[in-house]
Amino acid sequence: MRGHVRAVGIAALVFAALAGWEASRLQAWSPFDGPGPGLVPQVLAVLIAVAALGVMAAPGDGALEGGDASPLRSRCFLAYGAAMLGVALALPYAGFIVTGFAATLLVLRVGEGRSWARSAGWAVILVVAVTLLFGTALGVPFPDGPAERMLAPLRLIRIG
Amino acid sequence: MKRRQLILGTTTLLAAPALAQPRWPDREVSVLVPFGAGGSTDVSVRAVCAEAEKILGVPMQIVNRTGGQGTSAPTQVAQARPDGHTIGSAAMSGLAIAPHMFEVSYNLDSFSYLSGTARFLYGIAVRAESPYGSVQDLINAAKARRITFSATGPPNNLGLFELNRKAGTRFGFVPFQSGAEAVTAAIGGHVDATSQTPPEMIPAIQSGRLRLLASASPTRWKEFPDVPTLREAGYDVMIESLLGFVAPKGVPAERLAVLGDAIQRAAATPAVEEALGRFGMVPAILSATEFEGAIRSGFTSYGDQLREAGLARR
Amino acid sequence: MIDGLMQGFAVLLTFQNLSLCLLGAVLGTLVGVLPGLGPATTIALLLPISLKLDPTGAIILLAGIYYGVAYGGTITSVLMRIPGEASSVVTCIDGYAMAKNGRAGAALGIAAIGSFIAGTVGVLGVMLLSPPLAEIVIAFGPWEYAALMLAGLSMIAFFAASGVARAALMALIGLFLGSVGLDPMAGTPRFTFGVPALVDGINIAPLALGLFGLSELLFLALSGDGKPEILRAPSGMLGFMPNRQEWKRSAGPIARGSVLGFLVGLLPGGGAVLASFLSYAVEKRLTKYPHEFGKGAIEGVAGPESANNSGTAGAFIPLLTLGIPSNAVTALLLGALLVHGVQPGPMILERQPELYWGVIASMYLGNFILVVLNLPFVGLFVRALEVPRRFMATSILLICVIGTWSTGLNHFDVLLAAIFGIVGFLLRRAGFDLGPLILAYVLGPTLERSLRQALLISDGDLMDVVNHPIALGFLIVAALVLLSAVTMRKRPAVVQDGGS
Repeated sequence: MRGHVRAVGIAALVFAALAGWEASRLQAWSPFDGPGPGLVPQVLAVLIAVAALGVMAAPGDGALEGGDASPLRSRCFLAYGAAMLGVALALPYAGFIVTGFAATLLVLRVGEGRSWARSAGWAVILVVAVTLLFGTALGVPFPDGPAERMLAPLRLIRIG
Repeated sequence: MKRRQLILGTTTLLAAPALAQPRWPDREVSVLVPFGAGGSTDVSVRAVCAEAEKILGVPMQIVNRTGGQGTSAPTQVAQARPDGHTIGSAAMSGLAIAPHMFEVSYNLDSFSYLSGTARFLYGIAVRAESPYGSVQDLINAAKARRITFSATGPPNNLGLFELNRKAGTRFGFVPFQSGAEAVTAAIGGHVDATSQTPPEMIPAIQSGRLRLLASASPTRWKEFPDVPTLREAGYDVMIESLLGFVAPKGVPAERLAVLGDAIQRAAATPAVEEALGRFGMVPAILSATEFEGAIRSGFTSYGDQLREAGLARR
Repeated sequence: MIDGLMQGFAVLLTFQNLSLCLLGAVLGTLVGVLPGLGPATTIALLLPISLKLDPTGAIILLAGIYYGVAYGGTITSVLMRIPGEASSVVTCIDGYAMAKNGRAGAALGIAAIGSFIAGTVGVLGVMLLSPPLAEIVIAFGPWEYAALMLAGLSMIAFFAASGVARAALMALIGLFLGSVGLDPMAGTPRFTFGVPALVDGINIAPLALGLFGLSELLFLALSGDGKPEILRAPSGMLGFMPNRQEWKRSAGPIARGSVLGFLVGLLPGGGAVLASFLSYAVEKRLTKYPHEFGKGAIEGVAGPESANNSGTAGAFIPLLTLGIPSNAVTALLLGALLVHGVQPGPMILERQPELYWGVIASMYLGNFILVVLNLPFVGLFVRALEVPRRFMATSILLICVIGTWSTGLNHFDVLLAAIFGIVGFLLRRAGFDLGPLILAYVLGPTLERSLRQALLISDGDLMDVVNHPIALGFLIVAALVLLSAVTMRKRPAVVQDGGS
């Protein structure tokens, strides 16, 4: 626990330093009317640093939430984490349907250790269900991507 | 030989319609709107497009591209493929004001202008309990001391800023997040006056809590025909904010003409006038060149006003 | 007034309006269940379709969606720790803990019943108290808002079970995140680094879904085996209802939450988020079991869930009587009214009484429909907990992604959500509580803006606040809250450790 709390504290200090530096480029007091854009962020940066020091001074004990084992050792965790980040990064290029399918496949095959067939099967079901619910029934526009471009002329989804 | 010529001739004749120019547009047109559904811009665009659809014969799909303080939609339009199937609604705020205040990736030359359809109206009001019975009272008081007024931002506040410049008044601008909050602040007496649009002020005026002192637009408000405009009251100040349609630069001229014509005819229908009236707007039909001219002159004059008021980007 | 209500029911009891009321309620619940897809997005999507209906029917439908959402948001909060709505964030804390203790049904049941009671109280309030309450809305100016926000922020002291410094750090970071975007007064971009998506600030959807939903996903991934730990065998319908002790403990929170939520929802900028957090803090202060908060205290579900429902009703007062929208959703409703040619405001009772009373009648009926819909399904929803992790977690992932995307149609939002998912995981792992972060993020911008507006009006005079008794009142409340939080910590024999 202590190590983690200290890590958060140090990260917060770094954050405060960067925030303070960026905030110092904004005016603290505007010539026209009272506080400028910079005042509140500058004050906050200082206070965050103080709070970070306070946190590090009393790290506390106790078990880590979620167990003491390192998450990086868990294949499942890595699979989910990679899927999450992967979807976010690939969305602008490949649209939702393809990335969602790939992510689900990755999680089920690598993370949960299911067979290719079952992973692909669930991935298809899930992606189709979500697309029909959000895209067709609720009319939410989908991100542009190869699969979306194929479905749009069929009036199943809109591209936003 | 003759038979071959006959066959050739007949085939050409039969093929002629297919070879002739196909009717354009041949599929739907997307219209990007910079603000959310249900707002005055959105509703007026929908009203115009509902009529224009009938003229063009293809559906017009409205896409609300909110965000960026109304600059997201023009940005996307400027970057869209110039085939005439993506157009957008644009107003003074997005084209003539925003570039002075924020970093935007477009400028006035990024667009082909289609036509102008409507004009926003503005008015200056005070709470019923206030001592100012006419706009002259208010302005004279403002020459003597600081009078606070609430508004969302340009162009609503530019009328009073111009008065500061031209009449030497000392109106102090207090920004609010939304028109409703600005008007409520005036009703509650937290600020001395407010400058906003009709739908935000009419309920309060009609119930007697707010007193409309002047219309800040070129014309009077139809709901209150006895209230003068600023010009009629003797001050050469007016807020001109137009709403129209634009397309990306590079769309072929014939397509621009088809779209522009349909939009202008749509905007002239009574259905559109009624829809506009519900949001305190009036039809203002301008051709492509007129609309472009208005936006460009607005860009210059608003630029000056914003710089004077200290609102422009440093 | 009674004949007004009778008139309203007469308007409501047509086949069209009844089915619209039902449709709105069902859609609202669905929207509330699905994270990211907020009432504003849905209403905006449906607005063009509603144009084909008559004004009363359209408003009944759209209003139904709005208050239906408050019911649906509870479900994912309790079962998956994913806030369906920003106002359900607080329910994620104790509601989910109750689910882990095998009391998911009780949590859902009490939330549904509390929501019904609060919703009905709210509608009664709208019916009876509109004129005087409308005056309160007008009396609130910048000083009053600033003081109210300070009082709200002082409630963070009640989240400080794990340490003042920790709660303070989270709150300060939340305040900072709230300041990203355009400066509210000068319009200068702050911390946007040239990213256009940040110009409007960090959206609540990626923040809440990332910090709560996606971080929970990562915790699920860690939990060892394929089944979630919350597996409990169902034991008949009654096993899903709260037991007698839970009912007794919930009565007070529901009553207080109803009133508090209504008053807070009334104020523009107040809203359901503030209402639910305030209720949580109040209940934590008043309970006999403070150590249970964070680990499954039923008061922590009953109070906030009631508050966010009556808050929704409260928001209708400024809308219908003054034509002033309190939040983004009521702004859409206002637009819908205007489009149909209805001018809300003091004249509505004279000009279109059938619309006003029709909407009020539909709110009574809608609340009833919602509780009838939700209660029997509690058993069904709780079964969702038995679904193996791989189905649940992957659904959560995809739904969070499309939900985040749907709010702004922006790729950057989705990336932010993923980043906040990781950040949320790391913070929770180290025992930090995310509640103060969200509360500060929501309240901070209003606080800064109101304070600067007030100083602008008074020309820099900070002492002008003494001219505003309401504002002073809230400042005193804030001071009392902080004081009482300090004395609470000194209470003996209350062991507090771990996150709350």
